[in-house]
Amino acid sequence: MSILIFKSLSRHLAKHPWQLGLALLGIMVGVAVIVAIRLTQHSAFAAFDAATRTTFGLATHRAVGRRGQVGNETLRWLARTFPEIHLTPVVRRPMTLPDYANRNVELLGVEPISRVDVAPAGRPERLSFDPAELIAEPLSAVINEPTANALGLREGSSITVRSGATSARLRIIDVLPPAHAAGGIVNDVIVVDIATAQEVLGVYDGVSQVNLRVDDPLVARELAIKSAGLGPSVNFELIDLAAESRSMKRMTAAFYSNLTALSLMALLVGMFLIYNTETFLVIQRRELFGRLRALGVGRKQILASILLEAAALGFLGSLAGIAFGVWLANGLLGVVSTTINDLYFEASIHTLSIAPFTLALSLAVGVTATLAASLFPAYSAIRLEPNVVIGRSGLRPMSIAWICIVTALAFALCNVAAWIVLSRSQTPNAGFAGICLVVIGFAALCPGAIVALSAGSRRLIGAHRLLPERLGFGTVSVTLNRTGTATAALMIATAASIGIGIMVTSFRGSVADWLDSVLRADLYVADAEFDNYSRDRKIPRAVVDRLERLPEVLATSNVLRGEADSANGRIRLSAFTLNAKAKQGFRFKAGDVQAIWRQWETADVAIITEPYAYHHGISVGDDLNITTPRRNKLFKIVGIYLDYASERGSVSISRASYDRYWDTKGYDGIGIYGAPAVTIEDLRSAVTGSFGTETSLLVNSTAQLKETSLAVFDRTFLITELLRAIAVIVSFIGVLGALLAQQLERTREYGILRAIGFSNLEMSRTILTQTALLGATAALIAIPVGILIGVILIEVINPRSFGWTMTMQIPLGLLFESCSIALLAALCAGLHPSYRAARIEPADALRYE
Amino acid sequence: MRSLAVLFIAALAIAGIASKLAPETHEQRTVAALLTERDPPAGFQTATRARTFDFPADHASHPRFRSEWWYFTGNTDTDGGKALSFQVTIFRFALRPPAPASRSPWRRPDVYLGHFAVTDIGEGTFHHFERRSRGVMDLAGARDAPVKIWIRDWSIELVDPQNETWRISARASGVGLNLVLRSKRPVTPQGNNGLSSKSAEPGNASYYYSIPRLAAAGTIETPEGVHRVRGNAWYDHEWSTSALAEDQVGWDWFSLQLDDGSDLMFYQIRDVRGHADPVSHGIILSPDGARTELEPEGIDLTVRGHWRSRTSGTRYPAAWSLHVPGRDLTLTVTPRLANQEWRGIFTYWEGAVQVSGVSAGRRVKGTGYVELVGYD
Repeated sequence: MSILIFKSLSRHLAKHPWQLGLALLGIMVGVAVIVAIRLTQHSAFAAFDAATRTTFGLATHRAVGRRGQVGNETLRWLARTFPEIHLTPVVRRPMTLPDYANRNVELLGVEPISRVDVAPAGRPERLSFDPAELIAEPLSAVINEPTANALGLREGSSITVRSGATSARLRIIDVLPPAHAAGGIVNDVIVVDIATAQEVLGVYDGVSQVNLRVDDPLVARELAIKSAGLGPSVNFELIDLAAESRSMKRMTAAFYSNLTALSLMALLVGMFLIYNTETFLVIQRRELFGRLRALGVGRKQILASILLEAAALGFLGSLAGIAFGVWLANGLLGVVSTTINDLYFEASIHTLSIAPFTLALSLAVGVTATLAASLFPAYSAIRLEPNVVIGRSGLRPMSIAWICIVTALAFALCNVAAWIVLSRSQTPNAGFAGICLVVIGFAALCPGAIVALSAGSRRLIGAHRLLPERLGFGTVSVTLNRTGTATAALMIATAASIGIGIMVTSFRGSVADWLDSVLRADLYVADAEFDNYSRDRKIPRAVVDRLERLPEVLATSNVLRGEADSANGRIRLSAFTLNAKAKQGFRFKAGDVQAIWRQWETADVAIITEPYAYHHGISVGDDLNITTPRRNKLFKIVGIYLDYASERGSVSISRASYDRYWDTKGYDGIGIYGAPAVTIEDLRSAVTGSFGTETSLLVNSTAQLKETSLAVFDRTFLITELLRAIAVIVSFIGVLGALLAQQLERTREYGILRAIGFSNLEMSRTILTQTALLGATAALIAIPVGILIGVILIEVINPRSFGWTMTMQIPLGLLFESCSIALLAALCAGLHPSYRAARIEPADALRYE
Repeated sequence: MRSLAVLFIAALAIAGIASKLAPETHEQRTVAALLTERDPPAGFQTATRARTFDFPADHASHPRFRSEWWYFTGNTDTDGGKALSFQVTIFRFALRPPAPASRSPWRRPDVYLGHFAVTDIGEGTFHHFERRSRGVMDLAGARDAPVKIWIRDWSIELVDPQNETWRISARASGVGLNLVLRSKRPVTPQGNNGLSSKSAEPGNASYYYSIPRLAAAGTIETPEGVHRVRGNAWYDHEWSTSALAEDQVGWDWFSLQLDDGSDLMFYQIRDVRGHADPVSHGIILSPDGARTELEPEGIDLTVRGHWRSRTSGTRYPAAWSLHVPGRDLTLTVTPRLANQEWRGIFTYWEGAVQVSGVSAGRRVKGTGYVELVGYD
């Protein structure tokens, strides 16, 4: 019997393929976006882990040199003082390939023997490289397969690498699998023996870093203590890799939670579409259900069949969603890779790593969401009495009073719940939950709003004019149970788009304002060769002296950047020499500006950025214990200032304070203030002319710096924008389909209109009035909801994820654009039905009347 | 003889047996492969003629040969009567013959491997540790005068060349030893005046000598504490550029020190059928230093029991009776602890044994070390 029921149900679907397609599309969209975002996150982490594995393996700590390299004496000291620590040296240097248009690669010199104790376990069958040959044969190298293919190299080929004036020809002795495979290495890395690396670079007195595996926590502590106060010949900085990796992943977690929220929003839209479709399927087949009930089929059997059908649809839709999501993730990978490299860590994310767990989870989410969305329609189907449904009277329209009660109740409940969630919990996830509740609450308003709007419009038109429009307004509230959900879905997509748009615009505006405020100088000088490999390369004092003697230069300011250990872990420390104009660039969120600058040079005071204060719960008046080469020193926090440069946050002190405790000389950046009436061009040529032998110095104008910074910002939010666009486009299509389906269903009604003498044009006017009303309702509700989402993102989620505050800006253009899209979607949905309605033969349409 | 331990792995690795013996990481496999290349590159010297050893110079490293090891084993007792046995070995492998110097301190051909084990007979525990390092930057190396071989803080030092007195020390994860070893016998060349053949093939041989008995005194640290110990030790030094023959699969090696003052060393190389190779050989040294050569036909070695490792699944012989008819000597050899299986880059059994029996009508007992390689 149940097979028969199911057959009869599915026959209906087979006869209405566009409905089947719509249902599948709704599920597919939601699942696809979740899959895409999860997979890109997974791939980024996998790439990060692979890169870490290639360089660090199981290392727990890394020793880096304060002068850019760990000297031979230091390495000997480490090996002698801590015989139980496994250590392996690494040489890293960015190089170019002159034969391949100066493509960038990294030369990675490893020591294969000691690496065994520090590298992770892998599967032996994947291993192909012969460490004996790598060690014993000078200038031998291994690369991975993707890189070899890209460069057209194979075992036995040779390749020239270059860094500055040095170049060498390496012979490829083996090609390894890519990083995600066991024993594989990262793309664009050329692995050589440590001796070869030293010979290629001509650097023999040290290595870039030493990776350490310390198994005993007591030894780790002793190492940390001993490494702090060392003499000039033995000198290094110890980095705890576990802590670093944890903080890297934690930082990106906030970035990904934003994206995950977007994907959940997409699923929510998807669920509305599913609900919409399921409702249709039930309504359309009410006659069938009635017959089945009359034949003696039980309610439970019908319920089970509908749910089984929903599960099957959910399964198929989710499968399609997974396929589409994987395809989407492939496309997003490049964008995510750029953002991650700009903001967090350097990792070449080239390969999509498919996580079976993610796929299984997405499948489960898709099926569950479909079932959940089908529950209510299925329930309403079994409540029907056979005698009611066999007649062609259709469902009674909902009573206005009932709609009002349900709407008000749902709206109030959801918003109260949202308010409770947002005020009670401090996590970003609570923020997202709040957004969801607000959105659902407002979605409940949609049916009521349609009724109100149609009633209002009818009154406006009056009783005797514009009959087709009047008819359109009148019938729209009759079909409320079919149009309400489609409108809600359109509203959510539009609101999400507006909310995210407001957040990004406000964020960008705040960053631009901050850049304008902080970039006070006319020109900025930095060392072009400054990078992670030569972190101790500084601009010498002499450069500043020469600059200050130039008649074109009125004043300079400067900064030295570094890292230091503190009671709150490793901090980014900047030491500023500021003139009056530069001081104006700091915008304080807390602290007395007068008092700050009064004690700035003389007392041990520090100012911290807003994210730093947020992440560590520090406020003005607190003390920060910073480890200096002399001793631990308490710095009093006197101010918290606005800064978007780093989401980890940083600590700033005056250069005068810095020089009291640290020995590092030189600068990382110099700000140059031109004398009155000196043009930027003249200033630039005077500055450049004063450099002399310091050829690696780079001069940037304020405009250039601002442009570069905003370019990084835009790259960061490109993924957000892309996802937003994808969500809007797909929900646009979904809503279009839903409205279309609903219109097509009303063939009989249109037949009557034709029969009573409606012209083609009048028919179109009626239909388009209906859909336009739905679009307008969605757009009107989407505006406040979108702004509310923006407020929650700006006031709740961003401060809780990153510690940044920003000034809210509502771009009217964005509101207009989003609402236009909603209206357009609704109007487009009316076009095809009006075309069809015009071609209806009244006799055919009314045959069964 | 233990030399073969390493060379044998080549055969294992090539046959793909190594991965069956122990769940290895690919890096371990890599290093194993590195250390056991079957065909040595040209440019190394080979052991073809008998030589006169020159001490203390020959205690030091022989870099023109491909591989070399310094091997100390011993059985000791604490003041409180607790039995502790130990093994300290440092292997040197040259990846290539010595080449013209590079300015890079890392451009050296030698790789060192250290094996350190302590067997606590009473507690029934076997602690073993492995270290690997390139012979660069003082991380590991061998020095000529005074002779010292080391890998990080594990070291073997000749502290008194006149009296052949050594100091060995090693420490890892709460287990350590610091012993002074005083020679009680002169240096004893093995094989034909120190030329020890590994197969019928000429050049497939090593230079090999032993000090079969040294008085050991010092401290051994176990997780239970630091113990003052006294006992007997055995020292082997061997260097070569050779490998096992195709059909040789492993060997059994015995070093036994009896309480009547005599010492016995015997090894047999087994072929694929489990038969002893004719090059198998041994010596018996009387308390007065008189030397008797042991040829395979003059010795009757019978396995009396077996032990299977739960970790590797390998089944090893675990009791022997050793009969030398010509000397009227019958000995029973049993492990002092069954599980002394060495699991590092390669898996083998190397452990302390106890001996009892009859020598020329008188009851004797003693201790020693046995090495078993090539079982599965």
